[in-house]
Amino acid sequence: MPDQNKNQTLPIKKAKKIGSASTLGVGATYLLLLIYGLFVVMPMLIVLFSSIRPGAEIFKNMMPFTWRTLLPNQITFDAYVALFREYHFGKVLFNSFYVATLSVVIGILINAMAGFAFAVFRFRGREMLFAFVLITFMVPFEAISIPLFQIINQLQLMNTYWGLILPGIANGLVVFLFRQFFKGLPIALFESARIDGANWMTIFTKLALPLSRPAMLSAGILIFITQWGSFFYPLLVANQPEYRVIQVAIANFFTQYQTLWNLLFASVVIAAVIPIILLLPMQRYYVQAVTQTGIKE
Amino acid sequence: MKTLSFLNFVSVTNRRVIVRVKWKVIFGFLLPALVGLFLFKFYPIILAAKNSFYTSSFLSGTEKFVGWDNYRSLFSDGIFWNSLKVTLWFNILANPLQVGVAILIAVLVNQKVKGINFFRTIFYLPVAISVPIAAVIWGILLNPNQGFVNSFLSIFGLPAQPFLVDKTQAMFSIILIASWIGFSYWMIFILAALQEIPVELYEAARVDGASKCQMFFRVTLPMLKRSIAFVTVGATTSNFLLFAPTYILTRGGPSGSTHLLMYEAYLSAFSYSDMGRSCAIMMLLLLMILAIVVVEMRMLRESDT
Repeated sequence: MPDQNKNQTLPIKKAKKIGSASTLGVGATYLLLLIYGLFVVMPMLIVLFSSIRPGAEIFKNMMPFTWRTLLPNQITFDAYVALFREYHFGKVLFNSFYVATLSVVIGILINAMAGFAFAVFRFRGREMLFAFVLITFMVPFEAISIPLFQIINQLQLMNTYWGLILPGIANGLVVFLFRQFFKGLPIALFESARIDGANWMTIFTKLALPLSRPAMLSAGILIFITQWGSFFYPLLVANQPEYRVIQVAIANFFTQYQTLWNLLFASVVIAAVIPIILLLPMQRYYVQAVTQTGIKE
Repeated sequence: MKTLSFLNFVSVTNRRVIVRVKWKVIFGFLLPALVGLFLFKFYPIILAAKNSFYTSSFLSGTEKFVGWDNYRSLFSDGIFWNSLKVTLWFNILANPLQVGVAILIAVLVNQKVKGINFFRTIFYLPVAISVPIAAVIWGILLNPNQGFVNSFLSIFGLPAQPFLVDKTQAMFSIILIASWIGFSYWMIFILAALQEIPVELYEAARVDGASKCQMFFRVTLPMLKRSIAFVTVGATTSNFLLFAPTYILTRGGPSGSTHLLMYEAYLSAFSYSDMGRSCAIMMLLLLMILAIVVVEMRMLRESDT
């Protein structure tokens, strides 16, 4: 037995060696990583550093290019304070958080329910209905935003939170995610609960759902980031200042207050930092959520 | 199948689903999501299709069936043709760029060098930043007088560029903005597929004497086929429907050089109050996306050696 183990470790070691050498050579790899990394990060850093400059100084050091162009010599948080105090940014943030969070909670609930039914129950037309679910996932939100506006208008939900939340909660991809997950759970689990007299809703809420944490995290981060970044639809449906979400508010800021640069920078930093803070620890779940259908297509 | 009725006797190995569930229950579980999907994802398309054959005025609230008139007036409108041209140019340039670079970056970030995870995390970041925010950020950076990009270019002695205010450069600026996010977003898919390629394939190729370059084209790319196809469809769809940068930064200008079709659809509905025209444009956009996706799929399939 020990002999066999010895023979088995050798080929694996060889394979590791091939994979470890970079296709390009280590030096070139780091150089390219650095270049693209700067391309990604610089815009955000510039905006971040500019947001803490005093208003009058923002562009003073732009030309000619010196190290001062990048790093401020004076730091102030006036822009952030003014944003909340005079420009009602607190309300805007609240709107986005409220809409996104409710979308996550309700979205997870109803899509997990459907995913559960597709995975665990058997009924006529199941495959066809699921195909329908998958097809809706391929419909891009921008394409239907204008007719959606009409529908929401007719439902008298313009400039309301529900008008912003409702269209986004049913999500084919999330149904797919939960179906995948629930299919992996052993049927015996549910059967023994049934034998114990539990009804399906109880089984779902007390048994299946709590177990589905990975799926819930994936779905949650996906729905949140999508809702947070939603622009076109909220622009059409909720353009009144009290109901503006952050994307719409900042777009409006850019066109209206073009010269209040430091305020603009501050608002952009806030709008970008929040999803980044959420995405960083949840990277794995986001990638899983988004690549699920990409591979299985 | 009759044995399934004996639910009390657990024999799970071959069964994956449970029968004998009341319709009421099944309905209850499915209904919210299905209603939502039908009402807010499927029905809008039908509505748009139907509206494209009507004219309506917001003021009088009446609708009139006009058949193909909306489409006919589009085809005789210079603005429409310009938007079509701009949109097609945009896609011809942006789609291959985004897919190609996504593949290259995915390969880059898959290299097993120290600290690669740090870079991978960095590369993911644009995904968290939405298109409108990216548009505002780059809008500021590309400012002709006070923008960082021009300041940066001055290091190399290059003159300040007009970027978004120039007829030719504006389009490229928007491609840059869309791609800044697109590269990272589509990279995620390619990377996932890349990581599933079994190492043995590379080893076999190496034993056969393949160079690294050959390994990329003969092993990597074919194995990425499906993922590349998916990414191509996704990128095409997003790029055809791009709206935020034109609305926030250029309003279709300068001289209509960034007047994408989505922007024209928006204007039709909300500036000209012509919902029929707007829906007609949307229908044409959807048809174009469908057609181009079919062509792209066929091209990818043909390169099957």
